[in-house]
Amino acid sequence: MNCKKLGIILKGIITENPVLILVLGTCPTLAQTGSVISALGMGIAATLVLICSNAAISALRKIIPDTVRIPCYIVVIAGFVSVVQMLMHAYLPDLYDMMGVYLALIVVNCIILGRAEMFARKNPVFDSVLDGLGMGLGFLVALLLMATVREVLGNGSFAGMEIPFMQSVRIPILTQAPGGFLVFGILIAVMNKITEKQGGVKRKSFTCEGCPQAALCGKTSCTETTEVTANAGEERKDGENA
Amino acid sequence: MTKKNLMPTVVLGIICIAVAAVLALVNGFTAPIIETATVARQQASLKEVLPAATEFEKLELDSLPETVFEVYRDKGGSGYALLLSTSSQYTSGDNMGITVAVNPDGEITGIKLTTYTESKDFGKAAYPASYIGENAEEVAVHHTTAGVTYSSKALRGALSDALKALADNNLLNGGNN
Repeated sequence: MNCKKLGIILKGIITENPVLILVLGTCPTLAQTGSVISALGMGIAATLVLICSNAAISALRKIIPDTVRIPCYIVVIAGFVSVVQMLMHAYLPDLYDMMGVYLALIVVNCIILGRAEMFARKNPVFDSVLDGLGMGLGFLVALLLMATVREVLGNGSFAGMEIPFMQSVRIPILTQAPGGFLVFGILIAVMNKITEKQGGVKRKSFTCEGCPQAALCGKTSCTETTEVTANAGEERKDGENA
Repeated sequence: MTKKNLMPTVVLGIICIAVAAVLALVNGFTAPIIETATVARQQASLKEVLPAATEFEKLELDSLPETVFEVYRDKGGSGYALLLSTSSQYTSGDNMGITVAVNPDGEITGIKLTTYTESKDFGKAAYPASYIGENAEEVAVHHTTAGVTYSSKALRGALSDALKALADNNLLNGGNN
């Protein structure tokens, strides 16, 4: 596999991590990270759907007319989610029960529709599969990281197994909704700090690929307006000086 | 209709048909597995809610409420176990599956949620267990749980239906059983 292909995968895991950098898929992230097992289930299910839907949408990209592309994507994504749901219900019933309604809600996970719209419809099948794999792994890693913090510190256990010395120092609020937001915020801050130190990821370097609003926005980067305004300000200043 | 308008409709229609075919195929081999697992889980729950039971006998009763789909009697006489299925207006996945045990005096002696797929957990064990020891009158005025009002109301309604079904069929003490 050449560097370009590897880069597609790594982009999803690190530099454009859908949860910690692009802040997409927040609902399942907050809801399913109370335990490591449910986070693992959600991460794997979403990754499978991402890979399959990216592959299918990429393969159909020349057939699907632009006017009905969103309904077509939704039908394809919903189909794959239903397949995963049925398989999980049949072969992993305990995990299926644990995930509840959030399994079906993968259909409206904006990471999946976002990647379909921004990547799969413009790229060949193999690249789209790699993009789905990278984004899925990025989602899975972020979920596992957050679930580990919440379960170990909040519940004194890991994947349902009790950690004896943690029982007396656990912080129960971390397993509740406020704890979810708190850990989520801290992880985003840590991620920003790490990437800032390495100088690898800066907000300016983002493309619009991961943004579900890109089609409506029409800009080429999130900083475009600021830069234009700043330039206009400088020009005005120059004019005044002159 | 012009070709320009027809094409999107045809493509969307074909994709829908293809997806439906794939779903039918997967459902074809997963549905029997799911059904078998569900029945096994329900049968295991009968023993869980009525541990004193020696052997269960399925009763064929007339005019059961919609929420009560199977009624079993312990041949040893310790009581009845009923399989219930209900939903609230916000149920988005499977119905709520409940197995409840009732003694011959009409009091709930055991309860277990076999299926619960709502997003909000109302204490899958704790809230249902709060009905243990209650009869029909007490169940009718049992408290609901804040934040999960519709689900707890649905659960309460199903339990009331279960006790009513036993009473209507004269299976409780005081009836003509």
